[in-house]
Amino acid sequence: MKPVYLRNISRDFLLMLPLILLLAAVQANAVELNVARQGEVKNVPLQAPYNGCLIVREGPGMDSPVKGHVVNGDTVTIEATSGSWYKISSPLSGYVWSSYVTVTENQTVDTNTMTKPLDLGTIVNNANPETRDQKLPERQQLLEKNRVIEIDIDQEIAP
Amino acid sequence: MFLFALGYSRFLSYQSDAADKIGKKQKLSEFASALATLSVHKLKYSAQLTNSTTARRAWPEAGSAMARLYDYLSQPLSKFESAKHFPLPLLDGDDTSHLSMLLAQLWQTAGYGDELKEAITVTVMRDDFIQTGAAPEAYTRNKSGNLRITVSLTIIHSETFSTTLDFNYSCPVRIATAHVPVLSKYNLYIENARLNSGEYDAGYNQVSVDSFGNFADTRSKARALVLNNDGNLNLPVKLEFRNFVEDARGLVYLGGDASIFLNLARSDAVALNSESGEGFQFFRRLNFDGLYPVYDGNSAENGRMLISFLDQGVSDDTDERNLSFYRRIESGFFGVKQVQEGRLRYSSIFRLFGVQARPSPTLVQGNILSQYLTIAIMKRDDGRPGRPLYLDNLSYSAPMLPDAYYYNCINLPEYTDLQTAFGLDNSLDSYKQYVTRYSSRVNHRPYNQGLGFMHTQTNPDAVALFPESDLLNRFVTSSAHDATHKVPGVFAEIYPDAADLKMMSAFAKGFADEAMASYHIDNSEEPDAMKLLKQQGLLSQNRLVADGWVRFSSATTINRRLEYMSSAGIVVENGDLTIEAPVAPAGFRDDCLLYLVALNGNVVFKTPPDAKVQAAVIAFSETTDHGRVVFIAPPAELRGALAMKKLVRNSSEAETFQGTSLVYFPALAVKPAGSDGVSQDAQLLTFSFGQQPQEIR
Repeated sequence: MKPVYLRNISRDFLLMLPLILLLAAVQANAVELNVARQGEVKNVPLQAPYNGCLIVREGPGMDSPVKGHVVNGDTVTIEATSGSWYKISSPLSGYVWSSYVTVTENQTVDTNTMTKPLDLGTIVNNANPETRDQKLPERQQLLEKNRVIEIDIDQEIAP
Repeated sequence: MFLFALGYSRFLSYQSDAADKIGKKQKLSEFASALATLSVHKLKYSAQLTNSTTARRAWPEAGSAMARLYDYLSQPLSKFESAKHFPLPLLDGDDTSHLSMLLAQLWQTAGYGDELKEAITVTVMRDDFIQTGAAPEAYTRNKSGNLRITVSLTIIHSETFSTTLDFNYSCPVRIATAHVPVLSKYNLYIENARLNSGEYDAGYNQVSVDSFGNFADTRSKARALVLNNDGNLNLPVKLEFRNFVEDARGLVYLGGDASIFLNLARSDAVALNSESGEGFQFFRRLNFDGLYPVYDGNSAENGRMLISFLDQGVSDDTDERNLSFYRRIESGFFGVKQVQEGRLRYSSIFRLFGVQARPSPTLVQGNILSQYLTIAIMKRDDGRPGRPLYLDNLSYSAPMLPDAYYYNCINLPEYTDLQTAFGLDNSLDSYKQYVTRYSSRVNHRPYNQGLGFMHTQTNPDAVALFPESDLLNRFVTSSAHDATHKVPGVFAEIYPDAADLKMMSAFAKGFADEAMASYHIDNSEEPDAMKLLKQQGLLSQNRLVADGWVRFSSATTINRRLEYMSSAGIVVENGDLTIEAPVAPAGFRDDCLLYLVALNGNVVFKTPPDAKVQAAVIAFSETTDHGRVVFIAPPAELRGALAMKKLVRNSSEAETFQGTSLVYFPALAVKPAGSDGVSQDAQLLTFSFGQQPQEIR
């Protein structure tokens, strides 16, 4: 006969097992979406106003303060995309206009998953839309405006 | 007798002196005429032959006497003085060696030495000029007239005694801009972009992309026309309408009397440089999560519930990564219909805002909507999935009775949260509400709404950034409003009678103006443009020295590489203008532009695939049979702008459409003159001087 504490451990383990399996499954499915990649600075015009320099800014916008610059041939590590901007972490961190950066190698991609397009499930499972649940009435109104063609639903669903 | 002999001798001597004087004067006159001819050739060719890496166009060397003359002639006529004199030394500054050689030969042949000096002066008299151009009040630099050239020859008899003779000539000059008021502001203008007369015009959706957003040439024949609307100036999205009007950016107009639906192409987070995708037009956070909540409700069982949407472009890829999106759409009644009809597999033949690798924002005018997939999911307020995770359009199988169908749909166990949180029951109204508000479906929106996410992709409410008080807000929130077809901003004042963009003929004056042409060529017997240009002396070793607009009477073909030495225009009055070879500015003249215009015909491209064409293209016709730009074999890049009556006539033509990269030429966006009366279109001015001086006696 097992000691009580072992019986308790076994019972606790059995109770914990689904949770452990669930965590393992979640871990297996976890994808680092904010993946880093390598890019090369190319084709920055040598004429003014560029003078061969691609400006690195603090944020993704022309109005953001300038942090420095990279030049043609520099390799940058791209952390993320924001519209037409890349967020880079080296050789200095900040945002650069993406047109002059060509993604070269997926050298820093950790899993094969990230070399393939994301399926819907991956995106949804990693999403946290509840962090941006403000302005719902305004968004609803926008969607209503977008509906420029009135669907004759009665006709559409009639058997 | 002696006196008689003396008198006769003096008479002979006088006659001899007179003859000598007349001979000398005749010789001087011929010499002056030769110098005047050289002066005209200097005026005509030296700017074109200047290889300046800074000017980047046909412009005299900076600081030279010619440059001062060009600067003066560039001004609006209203800025001219009544008379202005410009010394024109034939050997000035960094002059070309060919002119100095000619001058030395001339001097040697005439047999003159230090006893003769020449001085040439060009006089510009305001009364010798008239203003020209289609819109002279708006673009004020166009003019034509005559220059007065004075060749002064000074004969030096001794250190203290000299005689000066003036010989006067005139030379016609025509100063015109390679620019077409209003239309030049558009990177792409199509008078009527509609393909059919129905309500749902989606025939442009013909281009296959894979799940990465790259063009998939194995599954569809059509290739997209990819727009770069600022000529690589990388102009950002600003929030006010005037920025789009005033920036050096080409607008887009797709005309027509009802909505046109353009499918946006899918692109993926792992393909940051996809060459055909349009994912940048959707909300995405930096970690690629693109869900934005739209509706919230309270579930009795799970508390607050959120319905969020995720937008994605279309692709016909058959891998799971793509099909996983489509399953959410196809399972519904509307979705399966739209997908099965093929409306949502292919993206449109346009990339009006550029591609993922290079977004290029602009204002799209016309009743244009972007179309895409919207996936709906429901989650609890704490982020955990609700039931159901995805909101499918519920399937429908006729001939199930409606009541039973609604009941079965809404009362499925997995929809419990949906029912309780959003007050749905098994009534028809609830079902309608479910289908039209909460379910995954095909969606559409005003095309310009994508500008919000191009400004700040990470803000789900980026569209709200555009102030309601500004006109741009109307473009972002609606595709059909009172400014949809209007000529925008300062450009509306150019042709007061042309208030909207609907009729290309309203702007025909800008490109059909015969007075702009410097050369007229009757080519009814000879279609080879290169041959005719050469015969006219306008072409040398495939280099066009037209320095102005050339009009051909009939259809013509550019069948060999054409390099232009200055901005210019080629206009075909009747018939097609066919381009079979690269057309580009000659070296160091990147700021020059050639206009290619068919007045009553089509502009047809049949170029080698690697060809580049730098030209603005206009295809116009009073009839509907012509006025098209036809890409039978498009160049790799077309740098300029496109304006036409029609691009493709029906969906069958769209199915095989061969697009290219259309890069706007920013100098074309020049605004009309303001209160100072000076338009900023100097870059595209052409100076067309006469071939020979005319002597003024």
